[in-house]
Amino acid sequence: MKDVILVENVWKIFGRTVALRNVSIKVSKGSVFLLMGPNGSGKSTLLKIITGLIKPNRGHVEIFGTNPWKERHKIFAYVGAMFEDHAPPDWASGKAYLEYKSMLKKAENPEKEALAVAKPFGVDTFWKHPFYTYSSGMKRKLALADAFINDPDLVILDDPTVALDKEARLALQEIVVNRAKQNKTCVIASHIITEFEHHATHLAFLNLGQTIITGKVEEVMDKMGIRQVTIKTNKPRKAAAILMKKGYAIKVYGNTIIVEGSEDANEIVKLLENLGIKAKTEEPQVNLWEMYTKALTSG
Amino acid sequence: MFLKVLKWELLAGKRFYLAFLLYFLILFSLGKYIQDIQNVEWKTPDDYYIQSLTPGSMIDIYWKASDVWWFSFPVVIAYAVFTFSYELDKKILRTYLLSCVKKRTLFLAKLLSIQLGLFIPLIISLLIVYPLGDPILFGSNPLEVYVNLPRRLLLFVSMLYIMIGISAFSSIVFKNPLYAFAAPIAVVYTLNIAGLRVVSEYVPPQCYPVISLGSIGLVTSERFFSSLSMALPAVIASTIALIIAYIIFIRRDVV
Repeated sequence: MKDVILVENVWKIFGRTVALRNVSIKVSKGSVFLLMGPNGSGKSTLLKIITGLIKPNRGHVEIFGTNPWKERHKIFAYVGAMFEDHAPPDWASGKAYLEYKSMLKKAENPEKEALAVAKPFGVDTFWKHPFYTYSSGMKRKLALADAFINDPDLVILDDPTVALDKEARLALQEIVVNRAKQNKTCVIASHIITEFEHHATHLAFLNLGQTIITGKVEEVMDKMGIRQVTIKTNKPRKAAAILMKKGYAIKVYGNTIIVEGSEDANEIVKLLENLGIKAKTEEPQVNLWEMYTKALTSG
Repeated sequence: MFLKVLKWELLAGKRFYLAFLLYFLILFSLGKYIQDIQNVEWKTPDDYYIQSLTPGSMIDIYWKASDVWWFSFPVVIAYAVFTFSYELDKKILRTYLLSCVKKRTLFLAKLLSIQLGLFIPLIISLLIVYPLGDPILFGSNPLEVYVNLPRRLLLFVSMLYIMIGISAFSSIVFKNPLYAFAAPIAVVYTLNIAGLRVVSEYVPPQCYPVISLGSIGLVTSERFFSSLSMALPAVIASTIALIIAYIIFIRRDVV
């Protein structure tokens, strides 16, 4: 896959604070890239460098082969982005603001485009209300709608689900999944991600301004020594009891059992079937939170 | 793109025009209107005569330069600082910049919109105030009421330009709006205390406090160019301030 974003050895220093230290990541076309890290780990700074809002002190950054600091206005014809403290002018209505932003992003029909991006998040409900009357959730929805103007090839979202209601989270999840099917790229940064856990194709963990680990999800799991087998069974309780008795570390989610520390799925299936329990292996499920915790604690 | 951004800056959701129209109307209405025909001495090296002036020509004579200046500059500076500090606040700025708009376009559109945002209410208020000051003359010869209006407006524009230049510079250098507001005010006061009255003395030229020495009402070419030349250092200083502000703005991170 071709790299949509290339960040090599980037440093950013604010006064005496080193926000990013020698950070390198690659984002491939069509990937759902999760950028995770605790507060202050440098996620937002990195995304602002990628979107050309901040100039790095050292290092090389490319987005679609272009230097974002120099050519920001060009790349936003096919890039959308939102940051956590999105702030249109208070007096602007959702309608006026999205139409203006559509125009700034060179949409063919700004009015039509504004409405099209507003609908999935329900922003059209408060279409003509000024921004200062919006709740924090509505502000976030407006920011999300803004990011998807012109159906960009790359969308960069910084903490997108904060303050969002369930419907909006699902809408966002659906959009991200559909975009991935269309080979469109999505970069999502957060310190807590659950919605995209099972859709992520690539990961990067940041801590204290450094990349702890990055790559494809499977690669990251391998690098971190995470081995697990996912089994689906019709008798999860009984199966869980047997596996625990055999000394396996397990987690049960409905009819799914995740057996940790094991790579041999066939052996486990065989074990259960010999005891009269129907079982089959499934694609390994990513427990992002666990990986994240492990990455941070292992340094 | 520039025109579209400027249109948004000028029109979308703004209520400043009304506020400034009201402000200028009140400001100008503080001038003393003269109800009768005045006889004024004209003295030149070659000539001396007494001319009768109608109130229309006299309207602005008694608006003292210092009054207009002292009343205008804190408001204009506050507005310009507010616009630069608030609407080019990093959050809002970032929101705009996540698009195809260039920083340069945004800066220039904002600057022009501030100038126009003040100038449009100013010209409207003058167009209202002058006929109100002399309805009889306005009825008989409207153009006489607006005598030398373009020249007056040009001098006003340069006054606004000076104040906006200082304000834009201050807003971009100081991140705290309070400092951004206080700094240009302090500069203006210091300039005046130091006797550098070029900023405040020249505008508006029709408002010289000593009537008999001025050209009274009519902004003659001599007065006009004299006023402009007096304003020139401040206009140049303002331009330099704007260029520095622009460079800082273009190079600065939008954190």
